[in-house]
Amino acid sequence: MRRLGLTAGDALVAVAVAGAVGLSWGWVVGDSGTARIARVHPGDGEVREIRLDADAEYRIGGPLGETRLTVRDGRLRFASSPCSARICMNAGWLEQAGAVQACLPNRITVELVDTDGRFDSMVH
Amino acid sequence: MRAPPRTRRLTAALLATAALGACEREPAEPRTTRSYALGTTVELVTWGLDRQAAGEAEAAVTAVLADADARWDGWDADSDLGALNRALACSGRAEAGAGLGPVLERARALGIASGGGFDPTLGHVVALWGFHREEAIPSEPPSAEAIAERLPRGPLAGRFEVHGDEVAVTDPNVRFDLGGFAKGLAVAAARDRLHALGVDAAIVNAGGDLCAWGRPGRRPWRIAIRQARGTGPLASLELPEATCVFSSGDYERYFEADGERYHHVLDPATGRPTRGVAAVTVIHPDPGLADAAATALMVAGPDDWLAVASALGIRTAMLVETSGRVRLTPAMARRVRFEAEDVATVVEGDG
Repeated sequence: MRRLGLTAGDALVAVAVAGAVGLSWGWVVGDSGTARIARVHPGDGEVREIRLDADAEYRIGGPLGETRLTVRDGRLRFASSPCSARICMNAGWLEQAGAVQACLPNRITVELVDTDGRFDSMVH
Repeated sequence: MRAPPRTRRLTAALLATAALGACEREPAEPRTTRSYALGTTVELVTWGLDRQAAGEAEAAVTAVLADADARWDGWDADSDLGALNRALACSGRAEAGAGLGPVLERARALGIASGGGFDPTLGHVVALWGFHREEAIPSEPPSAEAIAERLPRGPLAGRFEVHGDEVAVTDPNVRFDLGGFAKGLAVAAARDRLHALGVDAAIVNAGGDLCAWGRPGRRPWRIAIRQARGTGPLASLELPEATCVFSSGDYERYFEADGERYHHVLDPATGRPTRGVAAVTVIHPDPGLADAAATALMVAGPDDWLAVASALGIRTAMLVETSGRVRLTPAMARRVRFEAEDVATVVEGDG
């Protein structure tokens, strides 16, 4: 180090700064989510986020009328919807990250957010 | 005590370097937006685009898919295909919209190559079952007599002719339905449009069938494959290369009557829903082929799926039986990772 003109103090500073850079990269590229949430996409309306850690009922408006979503024990289901096909209701409880269900006639899509960031999209 | 000047200069230089590194740091998360088209939800996942570019990409995908609907939705009376079907019902010969003839010819070629498992002329039988209607799911099956009356006869190769922009049908039971193919064409068009816009990394997912290209940063795209009985992931895979993943299944549009499940994937030979297969997943860079193949492999079933896959040039595929057992080609077995527990698998075929 003397040949490079650096002292022990210089080396200590360099190590400390390099360590800070490394930690900051980890913060940026690592997982950031902690709570489990569902994201509700109501047609042309604003996306709404629902927490799954509190039992509740939600009413979401669509072109055919009101869709009701039920959250219980960390899971979500379509409790009722004005469509006649009832595909959304028949799907039952959504509980795994990445699960997606829609009421197409009422233009409402619900996805359980993959807060661990494991998947970018789902084939179904 | 104040640090010597040389130490202060070194410290400042290192901190400046760290700050520059932070500025160049790439976005951590892809951006996902959703819309409705092709009778389903459409998901666009992009990475590395600023807000304006992302908005332009979304608008482009919406426009392309609306155009696809206007051309190939056989259940829309105002679409090119809807108008053709209506005209053919009257006279048996009609002008097709621009580009529609080659699409029908390609669909027929895929149908022939699949041994008839994919069939673009089955529209009347599809209408009998009613699964094409977005607002309603049927509650009982049509009669065997009604199906037999409307099932196209003779080999697929001879059911219609295309001469330039004119289409002629030889069987009045022919009604064109491009379900199982049109979505692949539409996703291909959206992908091509985004390429033209310079979007280097994205996923276009239309109702669960997707094409992906590029990478979100340094890692590949990570895709989940849904369980056939349940809403969570059965398996996952990474897509380091540009390709498409399409599926067909018995679990999204179906009804149950007298303990039997009736779903929307019909066997062209019988006019009735396929049996024994809950889902098929195909990986191939050609989305039109992948779409038709996913349907054809469901029709082929566990006994014939490998032969049909080979005939279509599909090497990477997975078939889930209604029992839950999963059959994979060797190429698929090398790619897929199972996320669900206790999955019975068998790897079969060459490669």
